[in-house]
Amino acid sequence: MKETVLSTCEKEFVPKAISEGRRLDSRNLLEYRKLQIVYGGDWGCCMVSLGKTKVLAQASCEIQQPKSTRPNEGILFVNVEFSPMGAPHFEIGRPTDAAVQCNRLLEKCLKESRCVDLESLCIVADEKVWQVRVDVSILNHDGALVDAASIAALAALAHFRRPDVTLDGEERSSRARFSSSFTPSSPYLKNVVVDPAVLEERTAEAQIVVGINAYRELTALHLGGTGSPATNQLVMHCASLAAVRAMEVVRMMKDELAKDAEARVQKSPVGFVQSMDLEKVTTLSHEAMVTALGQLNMNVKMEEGGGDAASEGSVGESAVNDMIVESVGENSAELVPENDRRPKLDAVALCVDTIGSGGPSTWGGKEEDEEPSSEEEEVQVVAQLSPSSKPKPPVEEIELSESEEEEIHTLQPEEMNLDKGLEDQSDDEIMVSKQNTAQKKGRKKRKKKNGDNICK
Amino acid sequence: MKVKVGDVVVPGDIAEEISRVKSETKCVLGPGLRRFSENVIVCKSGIFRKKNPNTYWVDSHQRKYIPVRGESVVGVVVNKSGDIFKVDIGASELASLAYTSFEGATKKNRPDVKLGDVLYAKLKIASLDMEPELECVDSKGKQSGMGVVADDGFLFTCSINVVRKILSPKCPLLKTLGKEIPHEIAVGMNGKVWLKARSIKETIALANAILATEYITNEETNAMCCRIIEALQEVN
Repeated sequence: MKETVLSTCEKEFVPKAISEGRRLDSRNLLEYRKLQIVYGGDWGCCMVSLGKTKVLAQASCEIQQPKSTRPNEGILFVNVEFSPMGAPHFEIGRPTDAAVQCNRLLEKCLKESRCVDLESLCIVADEKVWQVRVDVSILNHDGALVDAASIAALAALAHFRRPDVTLDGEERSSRARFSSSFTPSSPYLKNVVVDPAVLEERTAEAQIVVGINAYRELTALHLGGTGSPATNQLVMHCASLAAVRAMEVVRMMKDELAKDAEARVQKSPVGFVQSMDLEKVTTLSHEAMVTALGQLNMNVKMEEGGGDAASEGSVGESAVNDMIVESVGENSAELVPENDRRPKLDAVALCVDTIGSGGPSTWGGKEEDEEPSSEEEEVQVVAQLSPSSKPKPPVEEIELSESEEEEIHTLQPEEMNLDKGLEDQSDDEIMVSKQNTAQKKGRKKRKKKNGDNICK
Repeated sequence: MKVKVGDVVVPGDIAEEISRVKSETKCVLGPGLRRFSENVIVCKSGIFRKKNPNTYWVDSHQRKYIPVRGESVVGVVVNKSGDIFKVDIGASELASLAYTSFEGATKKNRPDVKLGDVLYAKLKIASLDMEPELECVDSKGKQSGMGVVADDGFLFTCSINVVRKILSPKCPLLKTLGKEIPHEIAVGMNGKVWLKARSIKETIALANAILATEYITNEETNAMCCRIIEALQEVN
């Protein structure tokens, strides 16, 4: 199926609205949509939703012969699947230009950022190495695909555990090390808009995708579109926006990862089902209900007509009287008995409406009465860019590049402790293959290179 | 399962009541119902509804539009070939629109329709196996509100039950909002809505109000409208 044609009025309306500083979904120009990262039951499985964009990533690995040019390095392979489920105009086997671009950008980004220590994936040099494969499938397309796909791919890699293989064939599971990370964000030119929805993406003059890791290192830069040529200033502006975002995203990813790890230790159920709020009638209701009224400073108090929110045939009216409506998220409210108020799951940061979100589901039995997992962490990146904002010191960085000569330095026990305190994905055996000073040098070098690129 | 009016129904249910309607009286089967030998069976899930005297249908949530003859729709012109325009109305196929089916159009006097224009039109032919055909004139050859809508404004898509809801005479949304916020609107039964208010801010607010109507009752709609109006005035 062909992509639907945009009407003239849409093409004119969206840029006009943006030039007034308004967006269709009530966001500010530099506001991101709600990001949700959910880890699946399997290792290396992750679903990311960015507003209505939904992306699923699964990391897997197999043993392969290494490339002859890099006999002691594992292989990282990234595949982004654009199926018609995501959007009707995606076709299997016939990737569009945008799809190819997304795939390559992601691959470049992941490899450039060296988030996977490829040398640690080597089993027997020249014979057997791990090939880590990340399959990203687009479940729903509502703009900013590269962004969502990169977060998903990275989260999947971070969550993934490579089986440890000893030569006699015994397998033991341990987490592979992935340290640094990046996230692209795609702002508009002229009026820079971050995290565009599909309509904004299609009406944009041009697009910049910036890949950047949590240490503010640029890993990819892509300029697309036909608009006015980007100035140095603009690219720098976008990059600094992306840097702030990258730190936020990585922090959130690690938080979720820690939660997931804890849940696994405590043997409590994990997976996608846990992330859904089964208690509500309108769990799967349309996200478009997040209205633009939030921007107009509206607070809809559901108490007035709250009881009626229960749709026909789903919630008995009798139960409604002594219930209180509690808003639990951006676009949802919950009916709770007055004497049994649950602690609020998360504060409604924006005063976005809680229009029409229905009552609790009374369909299921009571025995499934689990606390809805509070995974709706809201990322509200207020892109305040203070030039002095310093990046977090890199806590653990494993960089191996064959181009630069480096000396292998084994950490002293004291240093180990120091590092262990900071890092969150600690492994039993840490081997940092670079001296701190050398690390800094390397980074500077790379930055310079990037600077040259920008000037071009 | 046999079902009554007002029940929640699923495909395969038998609407017994309709079979009992006297054979000489006329009975209208709306969307979601299909005649199957002696019985009428349900082919959509939703709520079984009836309107006197003998009109039955299933109220369901749907986003996909299935063309029905005589319905007014909003579409986008995507192709011009020879003497017909192809219009995207959100159905499985593009609808065709002959250039002569505009008011006052003749072979020499062609209507001014460009690609990407938004049209408000009526379905002349709609059958399951043929491509739908549109027209922009009523039976008297008059325009009667149809044709190309203005270039500005905004087009958005919502689910089909929202459209049915805001068009129903009981729904206060457009009436209440219209009193305070002057706007032009073209609501197609295909779930496409074209909207134009005085400013972009108002247009966005109205569009979101329409989308928000999906899950709320009429009383809540009233309350919401009041708040929107207040908020807009505050901002002004």
